[in-house]
Amino acid sequence: MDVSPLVWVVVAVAIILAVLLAVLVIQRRRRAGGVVVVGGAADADAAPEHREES
Amino acid sequence: MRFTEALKREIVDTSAASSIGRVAGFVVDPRTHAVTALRVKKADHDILAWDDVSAFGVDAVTVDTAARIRAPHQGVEADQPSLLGHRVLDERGVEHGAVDDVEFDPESGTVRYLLTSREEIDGARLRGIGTWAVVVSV
Amino acid sequence: MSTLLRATELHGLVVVTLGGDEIADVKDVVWRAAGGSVLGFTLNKRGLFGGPMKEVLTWAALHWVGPDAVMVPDATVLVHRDDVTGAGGAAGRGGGDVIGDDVLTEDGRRLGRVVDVIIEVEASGDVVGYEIEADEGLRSGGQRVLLPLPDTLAVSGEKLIVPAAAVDFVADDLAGFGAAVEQFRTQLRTGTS
Repeated sequence: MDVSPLVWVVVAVAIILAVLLAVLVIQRRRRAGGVVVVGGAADADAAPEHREES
Repeated sequence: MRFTEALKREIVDTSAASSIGRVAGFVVDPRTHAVTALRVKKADHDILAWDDVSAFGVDAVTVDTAARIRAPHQGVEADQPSLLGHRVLDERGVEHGAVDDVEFDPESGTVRYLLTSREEIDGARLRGIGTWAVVVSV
Repeated sequence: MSTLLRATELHGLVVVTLGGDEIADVKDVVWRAAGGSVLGFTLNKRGLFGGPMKEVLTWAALHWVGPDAVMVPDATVLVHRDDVTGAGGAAGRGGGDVIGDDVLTEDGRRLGRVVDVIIEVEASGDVVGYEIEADEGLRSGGQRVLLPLPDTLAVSGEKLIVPAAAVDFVADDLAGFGAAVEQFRTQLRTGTS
């Protein structure tokens, strides 16, 4: 069965777009920030810049 | 005098009575708050140190010999971005627009004011000129 | 004078040296529940495709936190996260994000869900409150309100516990929140000790 070359072009473009989108999504997630709590007193004692307080 | 007035001013070699090039930019030392060199267009090299300028006149910049024009030194002369159009950030992380113009003393090279669209910032407040911004004290 | 900022406003903020060079973007704001202050920031490399950096910025090394940039004296203040157990350890585990956590009072009442954390940035990096999406009981449901925090508080997993009295000092905007936090903390100190 003969498939028009146009179909292959469309498929190739679709694959490239999908990869680009995936890279963008992964990158967004890698860069996404949060507000992270370190809980226990152990962490606090180990942090050198706050040692003078404890 | 302002940077925008001084830009494109002719640089004249007084010994040969010939034009060397034109003022294309300014190198500013943020520690001394002064212009330390001019960038030169259409010359073999592109730096003319402020100390080598004979006079910064109203119509031309004069220099005693074309040999004063030299290659930029590593560091500030090579890397410093132009102040004009550069973002202004104060040391408390607040933006103050972009540099529209710089008012300087043509005798000493001292920067009097940075002019943004919103305000005049005293040249003595200059703290740093980097790739991201011109940093001024508060 | 105190300056209050929302922690999420710091996400993606550029880190700039006093020399004017940009060196990183802010990723996480890391704070310590015991003591209630910000330890520092984890960082991303600059640009859209810059991934997380191994270096972190401690609060003590900062010059200033502003609305448009985090200012540092120079690029040498960044330290490897292994050298800072508190901030770096949290970043390494990648956990402990309080955004989205439930807030309960000590007497077991659910107040809402955390949408932001309010930081006093002028001096100590004190964490002064939560911005929460309020439950029906506190305000009209879904409304965002500011809830003051005591000087120190217990964080135990996904639940965040605040004193019941915090409800009396809820504020609607940052303008009046600093005073509310002061009043709340004063009452806690005089009331319980």
